[in-house]
Formats: sequence, C-alpha cells, structure tokens
Amino acid sequence: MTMRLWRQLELEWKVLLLAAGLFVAFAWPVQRFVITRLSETLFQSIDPDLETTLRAELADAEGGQRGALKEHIERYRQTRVLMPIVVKEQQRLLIALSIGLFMLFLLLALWVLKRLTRPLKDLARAVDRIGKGETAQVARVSEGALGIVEQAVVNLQEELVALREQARMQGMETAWKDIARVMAHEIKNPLTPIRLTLDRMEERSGSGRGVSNEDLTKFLTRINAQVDMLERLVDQFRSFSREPEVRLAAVDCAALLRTVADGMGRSLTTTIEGAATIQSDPYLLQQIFLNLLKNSLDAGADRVSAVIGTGVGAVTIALQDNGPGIPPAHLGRIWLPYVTFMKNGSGLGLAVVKQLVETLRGAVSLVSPPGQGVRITLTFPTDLTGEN
Amino acid sequence: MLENVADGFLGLFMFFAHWLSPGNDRGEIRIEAVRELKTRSVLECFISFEWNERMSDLIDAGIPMRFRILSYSDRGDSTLSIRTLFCDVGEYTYYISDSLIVPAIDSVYVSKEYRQIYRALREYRHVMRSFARSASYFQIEAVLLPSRVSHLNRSIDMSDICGCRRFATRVISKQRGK
Repeated sequence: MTMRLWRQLELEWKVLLLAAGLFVAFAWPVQRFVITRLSETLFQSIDPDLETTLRAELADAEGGQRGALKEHIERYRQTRVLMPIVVKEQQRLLIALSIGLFMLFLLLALWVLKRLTRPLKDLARAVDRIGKGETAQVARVSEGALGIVEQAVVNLQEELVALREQARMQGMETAWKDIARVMAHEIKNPLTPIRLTLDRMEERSGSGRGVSNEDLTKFLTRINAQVDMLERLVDQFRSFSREPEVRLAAVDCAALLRTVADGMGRSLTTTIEGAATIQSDPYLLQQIFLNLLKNSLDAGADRVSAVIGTGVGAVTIALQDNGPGIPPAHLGRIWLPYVTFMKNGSGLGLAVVKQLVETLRGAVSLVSPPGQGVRITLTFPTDLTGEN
Repeated sequence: MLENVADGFLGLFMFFAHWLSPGNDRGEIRIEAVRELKTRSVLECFISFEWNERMSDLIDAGIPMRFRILSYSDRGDSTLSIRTLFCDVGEYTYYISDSLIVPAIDSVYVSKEYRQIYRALREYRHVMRSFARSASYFQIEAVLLPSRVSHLNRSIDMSDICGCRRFATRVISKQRGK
C-alpha cells in the first residue's frame, strides 16, 4: 500500500518528502546536541564559589561597598537562574527558525522542481497525444539530456506521421484495388450474358437463318435484364459514395416494409408484427429494408419475421431471418465496405444500410447466434425533425 | 530571638507542606470569608497558584513577582493595585509591597520583612477588599505581570513557570445570603 502510494507520487513530492525525512532524522538531533553543549558550556562558565566569596566580603563591607557587593550577588544569582530559561528561549527560537527556514526551503524547492520537471511533464503529455494519433506541439528547446529526449520525441513524431501517411496511402491503394476488383467482377457478370446473347444474334444473322421475332424478344429481354442489373449496380455505388438527401415525411413502417417484402416475390416470406408511424425519409427507409431483405435472401434465408416496437421517442424494428447466419469470426468486419462473405455479394449491402441508418440518426446492430440466423435491430427516432 | 526561631519553624513547616501538596497548574482566587459590617462587606480571598523551586529561585535572585489586582462592584467600588513580592538578596529577607493606583494614586504600602519565603508568600497571596453592602456583585481579578530582571536588562514572564496568568472570581449577592 505504502509502496503503491510512493510510486504514484510525483517526482518533486518524492524529493521533498525525502528532504523532510532527512531534516527530521538529522537536523533535529543536531540542534539538540548543539543546545545541550551550549548549555553545559554556559553553566561551566559560572564560578560556583563566587557567591560564597562575595558573601564573605559582604560580611565585612560597609556603606557603598556593601551596596555594590549586594548588586554583584544579585547579578550572579539572576544570571544563574535565568541561564536555563534563556537557553530554552534560544532553543525555541532556533527550532522555530529552523522550521521556518525549512518550510521556505520546501516552497522554494517545490517551485524549482516544478519548473525543472515541467518540460518532462509536457513531453509526457505530448507522447501521450502522439500515441493517441493526435498532433502534439513538440520542439527542442532545452539543452543537455532533456534536449536529447525532446529531439527524440520530435523525431518519433515525424517518423510516426510519415508512417501514418504511408499506411493511409497504402490503405487507399488497397481500397481502390478492392473497388476495381469488385466493380470488374460485378460488371463482368451481366456483361458475359450480354456478350453471349449478342454473339448468338450475330451468329444467326451471319448464317442467314435470321432471328425470329420471338427470339428477338427473348434476346432483348435477356439483355434488358442484364442492363437493369448494371444500372442497379451503378445505383448502389452511387448511393454509397455520396451523402443521401433526406426528405422527411410520415412513414408507416409496417406498410413500407410490406411493400418491400411483396417486391421480393414468393422466394422470401415475410411476417410483420406491430406498427409505428415515424417522421423520416420513406425512400431511404425503403432502401434500407430492401438491402436487408435482399441480403437475407442472398444468404439463403426463405423466411423473415419483423417485429416493430415503440419506445420513448424511438421505434425499434427487429428483423430475424432463418438463414445460415454469420460466423462469429466475421462479425467484426461485416459493416466494412467491399467486405463480403457471400459468393456473389458486392460487399456494399450492409455498408450502405449502416450509412443510411446513420443519415437518419438511427442505430443498427446485428447478432448471429450459431444456428439461429441473423437478427438485425434498427432503431430510429420517431421524429427526425425534433431529433435534429 | 524567639520570634526568629518561631519564624524558622513555621517556614520549615510550610516548606514541607508545599512540597507534599499536589501540584496545581491552574490558579484560582479562593474566597475565604465575607464579613458584613454596617455599610460595607469585607472580602478575604486567597490567590492560589502553583509554587515550585524555580519560582523560589527567581525570587531569591532579586526578580520581583508582580500581580495586578483589580476589584470592582456594581456600586462603583473600584480598586486597582500592584502587589509585589521581592527579595533583598544581600540580607535574605522578603518584602511585600502594595502600590494602590486606583483610587489613591501613588499610595504605597510595604509589609514587614520576612525571613522565610513561604511566610512571605502566604501573606502575599492573601488579599482583602471591601465593598458596599448594597452591591449585587463584587468581582476581583488578579493578573501576573512580567517581571523585570534588573541586571540583565530584560523581563521574564513568570506565568510560563507557574502555568497560569489570570485569575478571577465574582461574589454575587445570593452567596452572601442577602
């Protein structure tokens, strides 16, 4: 306990405590020794037989000589009786003076130590800020060992800034590479069937067989579908790359969710419990619901149950699917853009959802207990106008 | 001759009495008697404080002990005096003087000489004051003053040694059975 307290003490207080300890351990006995020696010396300086001698002379003296002898005796007695009192007084004075001087020394020492340790404390604070990734104002202003430490911290900060910049550039490069890879993959997917369809049309036209109206309709429908996919892909990228505009309106959450669920067709059965109307952006909410339901469908779920609950100033929408769920090791990275664990995923679905939810001043969380699918909880303020 | 021997025995007896008595480091003014006269009341009291060897040594060295004694009542009976105990070092004799400051300025009374300090001390501690019978209260206060050390050109506060400086007591009419 004592050692822990000692370790927590600032350097200057440690020095002062040591000084106080030394004062009590040495100065106190020393002053007692000095006073005792002084007292002994003073007492030894008084002739113990003086009064006897004076009284012997007084017995034979007369007139003025008698008066003078009486005064000598009185002086002798007063000196002897007051000696211990004077010594005590001096001792008290010495102690008071010592304590006063020591206190003065302590204050002076505290001031000097505070001044001496201030650059070190500034450095410690600067290092702490640098460690947190902030920029600290550090410069070499001292000489000697302290100056060397200051220079080392300056160098350290410069190196860290350079390393961070390098890491940032590398990160950007990696991100661009990822984007290019994903885009290439996503664009190539619809392009392949378009190319194949066009080749087939060209082959028929070249061979003179011609293309019947029925086939032409079929080929055009196929190409249209792939072009739609390309457009959807472009829309996804665009919605992620810029801050969406918010247009407020009264939104019936249950009805909106039902509309989105109906658009998913028969492949995904969605049940909805509860209802709530909030002031929010219906288009952005629709995008959120669409992404989440599509995500469940892509993950292999065929059933989603939604529960809408109301709280104080907030609405909660919980979506539970019956898909395979997400392994715990992947949960930490699911919100990152271009990170996907599905075979044909773009890695933008959940990232877009997160961005849109935050735009609507809401919150989103995801849990995936093993074997129980994915449960996503969305929370929105009931009135975005008031919340803002 | 016989008077000196009697003084000697009495002084010796009082020395032992002081030596054996328990130390009392708090002083007081003890009322010994209140005598009622025709128009006045006479108060006899005793200033009690610790006496020790060091006090004796100081007095024996010719350093006087001085008390300022103030008494007053609601009837205007005010008295202020300085009572001093001092020693003639050459003759080994003790004297008590009363310098009355109020109401009679410069009225000094000096006691007879004492050969024993304890006898002188008994007389020194004994204070007598009178006041009007019609007074509803009478207060008496004693303050130990600093003493001058003539040959060392300084003063000494004996209250540091005897452990108290100011004593006071008040007599009110009920205590006197009025």
